[in-house]
Amino acid sequence: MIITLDVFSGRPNPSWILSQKDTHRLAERFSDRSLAEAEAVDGVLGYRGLVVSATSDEQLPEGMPATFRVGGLLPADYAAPESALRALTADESDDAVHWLLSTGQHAIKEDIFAYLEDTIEMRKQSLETEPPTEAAMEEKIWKEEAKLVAKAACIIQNTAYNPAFWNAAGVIGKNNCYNYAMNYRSDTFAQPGRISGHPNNIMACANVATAANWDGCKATCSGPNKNVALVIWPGQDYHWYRKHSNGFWGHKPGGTAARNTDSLNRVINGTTLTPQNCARGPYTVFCGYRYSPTGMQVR
Amino acid sequence: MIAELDVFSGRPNPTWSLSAEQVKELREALQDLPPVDKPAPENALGYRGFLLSNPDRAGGLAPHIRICAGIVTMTDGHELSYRDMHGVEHRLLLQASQHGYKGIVDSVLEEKSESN
Repeated sequence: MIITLDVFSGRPNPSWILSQKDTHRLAERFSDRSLAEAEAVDGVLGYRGLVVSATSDEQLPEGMPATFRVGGLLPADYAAPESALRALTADESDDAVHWLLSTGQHAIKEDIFAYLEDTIEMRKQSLETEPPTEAAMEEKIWKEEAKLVAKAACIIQNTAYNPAFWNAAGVIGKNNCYNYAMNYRSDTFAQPGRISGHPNNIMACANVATAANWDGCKATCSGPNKNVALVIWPGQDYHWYRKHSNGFWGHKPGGTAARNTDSLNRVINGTTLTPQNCARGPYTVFCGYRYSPTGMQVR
Repeated sequence: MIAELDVFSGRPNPTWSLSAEQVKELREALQDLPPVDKPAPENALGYRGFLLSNPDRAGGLAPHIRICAGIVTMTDGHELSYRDMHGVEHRLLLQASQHGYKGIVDSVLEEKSESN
């Protein structure tokens, strides 16, 4: 599961993947409980809670929705959908927020952490008598954002190989190599640059890589990321690969099935065979390896 | 009926609508073909043949038809495969060329002649 701290306004929010042990703990806290939808939040500046979501091809723990929000202020006109399940109490929600934040300590800078602890405590005790001006708040957050982005250590978080997710009837034809590599099911046959407003139609390494860079897929690693690789069929098309947690590489050629084998049916094991030296049909140009941040979305 | 050149991984595949004349020709070329045991091969990267989308079941043919490497696979709930006796794949390659994909078609044909 991916945890996203909803706090920034300009920069992408920090995200991290839960370990298997923490995913079990998550299930113990939240399975079969009535939970707020991810969109149910008052759009204040600063801390707005945490969003829990499954990575695109992850198997959900039983009784758990694919995405939900914990903490943060609900909109004034929010009406929770009817449910037979029990909602979290205020104490359970606070405890959950503190626990979720503790799982992301490696991804959250210390001063952001301190800001979060203060903000949560103040809201809990309704001690905010004079709210800070919007300008002052925005300046504080921008400064914290800049520090966070500049200093985040690289954390590689490659997930398990789950082709069944991508090869299901309603998914396979609508999601391509880019969806697969960035691990985000959009059902739009995603294109590099489209979600960020920088579409590209030149099939060359620099152009496709730049478009993907706008979307968030970078040449350098900062924070939690997965390993991906880009290859080109010169003038015609591009193709992406993603590395999995056990070391081999998977890919999804267009609307066909996701697989971990090359064009000669050999497993791209990550040691003797990699995206750089495996059989790739007409995708003769290897552009290089890149980093796709955990939780990156494409369209 | 829509024809799709199944070839790309990132970009959407090229597609075009068949004219009434082309539909008629294909309909005739797909009738009474000798059955084969295995379906059209599923390659990974590069040329993967053609997909015909035939939702109206024109000519009494299946709604999904795949043609690759001389084999026609028709899917209508179940899958049946036949030998492409009347050069449907070749006709579709010509159509692809006419629709602006000559470069891809030439490389496919070159690869076919090298492997023969």
